[in-house]
Amino acid sequence: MNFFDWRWRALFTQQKPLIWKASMALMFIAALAGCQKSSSDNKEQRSAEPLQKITVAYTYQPQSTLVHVAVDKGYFAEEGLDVQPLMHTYGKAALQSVIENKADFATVAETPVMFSVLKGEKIFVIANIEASSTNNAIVVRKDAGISAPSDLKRKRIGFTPGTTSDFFLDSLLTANGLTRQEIEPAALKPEEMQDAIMAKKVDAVSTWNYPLTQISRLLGADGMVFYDKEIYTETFNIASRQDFVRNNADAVKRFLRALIKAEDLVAKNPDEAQTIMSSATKIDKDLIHEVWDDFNYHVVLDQTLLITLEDETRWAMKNKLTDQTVMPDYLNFIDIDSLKAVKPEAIRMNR
Amino acid sequence: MSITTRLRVISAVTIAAFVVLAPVLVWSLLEFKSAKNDYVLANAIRGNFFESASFRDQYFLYREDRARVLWDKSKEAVDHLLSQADSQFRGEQNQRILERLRRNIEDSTVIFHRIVSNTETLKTASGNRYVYEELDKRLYSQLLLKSATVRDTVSVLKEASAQRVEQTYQYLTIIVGLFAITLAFATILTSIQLDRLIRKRLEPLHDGARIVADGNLGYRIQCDGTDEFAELALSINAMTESLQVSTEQLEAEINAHKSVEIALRDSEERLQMVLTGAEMATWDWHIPSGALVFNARWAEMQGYTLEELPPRIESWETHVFPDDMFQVREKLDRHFKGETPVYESEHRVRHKDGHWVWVLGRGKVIEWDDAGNPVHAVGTALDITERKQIEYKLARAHAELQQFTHIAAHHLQEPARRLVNFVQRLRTQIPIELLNEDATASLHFIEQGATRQSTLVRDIQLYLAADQPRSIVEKIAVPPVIANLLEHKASLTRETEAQVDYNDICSVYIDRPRLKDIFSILLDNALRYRHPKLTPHIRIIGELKAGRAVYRVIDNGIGIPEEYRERVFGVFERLKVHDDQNSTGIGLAIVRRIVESCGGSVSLQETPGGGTTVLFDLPG
Repeated sequence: MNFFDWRWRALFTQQKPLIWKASMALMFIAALAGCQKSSSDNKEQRSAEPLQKITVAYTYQPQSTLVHVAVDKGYFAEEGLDVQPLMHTYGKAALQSVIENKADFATVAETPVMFSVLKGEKIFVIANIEASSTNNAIVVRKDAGISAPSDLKRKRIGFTPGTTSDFFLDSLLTANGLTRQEIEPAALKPEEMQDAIMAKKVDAVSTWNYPLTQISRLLGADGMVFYDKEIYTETFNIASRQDFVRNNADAVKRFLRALIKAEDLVAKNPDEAQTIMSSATKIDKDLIHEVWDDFNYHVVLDQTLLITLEDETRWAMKNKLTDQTVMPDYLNFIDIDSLKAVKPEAIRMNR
Repeated sequence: MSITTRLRVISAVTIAAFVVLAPVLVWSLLEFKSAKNDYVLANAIRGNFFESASFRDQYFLYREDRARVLWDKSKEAVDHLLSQADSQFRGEQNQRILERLRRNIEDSTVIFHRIVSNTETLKTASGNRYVYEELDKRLYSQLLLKSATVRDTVSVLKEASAQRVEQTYQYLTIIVGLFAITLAFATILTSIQLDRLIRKRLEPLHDGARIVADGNLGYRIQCDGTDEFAELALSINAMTESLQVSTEQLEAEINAHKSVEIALRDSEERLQMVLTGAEMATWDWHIPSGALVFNARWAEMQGYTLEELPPRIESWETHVFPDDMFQVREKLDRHFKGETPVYESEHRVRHKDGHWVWVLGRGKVIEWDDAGNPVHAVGTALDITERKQIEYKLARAHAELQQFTHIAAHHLQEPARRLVNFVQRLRTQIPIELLNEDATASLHFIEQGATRQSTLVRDIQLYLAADQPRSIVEKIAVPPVIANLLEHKASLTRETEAQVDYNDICSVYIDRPRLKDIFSILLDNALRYRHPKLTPHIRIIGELKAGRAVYRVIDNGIGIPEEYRERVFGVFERLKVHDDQNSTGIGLAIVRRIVESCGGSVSLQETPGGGTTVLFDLPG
């Protein structure tokens, strides 16, 4: 007992250690309080600023999931952006809105981007938000005598020109030793595909989800789907005008930051993301769930985009789909700095 | 609580902390090792990717089987690595990365094989060859795209592994740091606690010890409790008490010693006074070193001051008269060997003026080494020149007297011999008829008187010469001397049928004539005063005792009454009961004079059973 008596007596009688300990504790608390204050100050400062209005042209497609989630979860507002949605059925139209200065950002696949660049549009891809090798396919009617890709010869096939639908059709034909001259191509808008094939106006359509799965479901046993994940990889991107990016560098970063938050939620809570998509697109959640695994939702800038753009450019030039004969340097149409500023590890593009 | 118990408690707490932290530390080490293994594996997968890319490019350059086969082998290797990674990598994120990697690699494999297949098709294609050429390019693009994805995915895996390595390293560092801090804290806390405790408990001990050290042996330390300090205080108190008792005893002893010292000093002073009064010199000799310390008188005897003579033995040796040096050395050696109890020598030393000074040196070894060699001797020296001069004069006078006695004896014996001769001549020349009874008796008395006078003169000569050696003093074996005497006394021994036993007698240090005188006189007495009814039996026994040869001559004669045993040593003393015309009454006086001149003594005792025993001692 002497030992403990002594110990407690020492604690109370020795003032120096107590003062020292108290000082240290107060300093620690003050430091914590300082950090906390600084953090809350930032939020207050952010909330005190007026939201910047931006218009985002995006689609009901699953490739635009990150934008839907960011809007629904208020991530854009968190980043000080007041997003005005401008909905489209496919990316090419969304990009057109941006080019026409009706929107500041568009969600769009690489094919419309490629054609726009070839047309001389001053645009930037600021991020790739989705990639898939199985989003594009050709849905065929069996009763048209098609049971294999090689049966597409001399068949009437619907596609949307200037889109991934166009390029995928060409790729699949090539993979099966066919050329476009050996089929009967039929230009259709995405929303026209379903009716056209159901009405047997076409024997097959080259399209993407959700129409792809919807048509397949409608055809049921009468239909077949030809995938070829080794021949094409689709990318879905955020595109913007170059002048807008240059003049709104901070807004671009905040926009990307909101998408990165959405990316995190999609990875951690896919079910919630699917519910958001179902609510935003009025599409049955089962359908969304069915095609969910075909997509990789990542905010990145990697080599896939560059290679695909160049592949498609060569294809467009070869098929006289453009007047351009010189391969453009697509690095001049990809804004790396913005994403690098907010997520440096996402830059995987060789420069 | 004792300090030992407290230390045990602290040790137990420290061990408990160690037991708690040790598993965490081990876990951290294992995690770090696991992370490092993951990193190594991820790096191996990355290496495989570049290897595979190399084979891919080689194939596209020449479309040869070797590159294709190597690409396939590289694929098998990466399959093996991925299989290993499946079991090795932990965490959902890593598994997702691995799954994505595997999927992309599989996609790459399919594309590669489609390219290989398309290459085979191209070898035979003709009409639509450009389609297959386009397909080749499309597939190659897709393969490059997949390769980039694979590369990115592998990089992510590697980065994740590297991060985990870094993270586990940080954990390890933190835990090791925590461990070290815990140990340091425990050590510091323990040190502080012990320091305070020891200071608090040690202070009364320290103060008490200082008080005791200052001499207050009556002080007792007050230290409560049951710990080691209390025990130590009790021990110190007990020690102090014991010290106090010892000190008191010591003080008493010191006081006693002081008294002794005072007495000793007084004694020394008196001794010095005596020595000074007796003009006696003193010396102190350290024999191995030759250092010799002497007083002023010692130097003064040789005509020097104390400062003039170096305190070395050479100061003495170089001054001793050379002819005396031998006997001085001999006496010293005998004392050093333990043969004599003290060293004593009379010798001459050279005075500063050149004349010789007679010195009586006495000394004694007071310290011996373990081997029995003398180390330290002290002694005195006395100037005996005056005495020696007197002795010289006396000796000369004695010699003159002896010369006179010898001449006188010779002249006294001459008339006696002439008387005897003339009586014998008268007895032969006077006709027998003229020699009547009176005349015959007168002649007989004249002859007897003359013979007695001659014997008396001879005995007086012997007595006077008895105190001086008459030949070389040496070690003499006694039995041959006795045997020789018995030969001369053979008629008497035969006549008396006496038995003389004299075996086993020790030797003696004396001159031979006087030794013969002693035993001759004693044998004569024993034979002359024999018991009328007993056959004479004489036993001579001699033995060494303390450097002296002690002899007993034992007879079974008529004996000497006790009241006459001292008187018979007087000159001309004879007992009437033993009156003998042939006895001069001077024999035992001669024996005593010889024995005493040799430093011995002689006495008479009654032999058990009757008879006389003569007891005397000589130098052995």
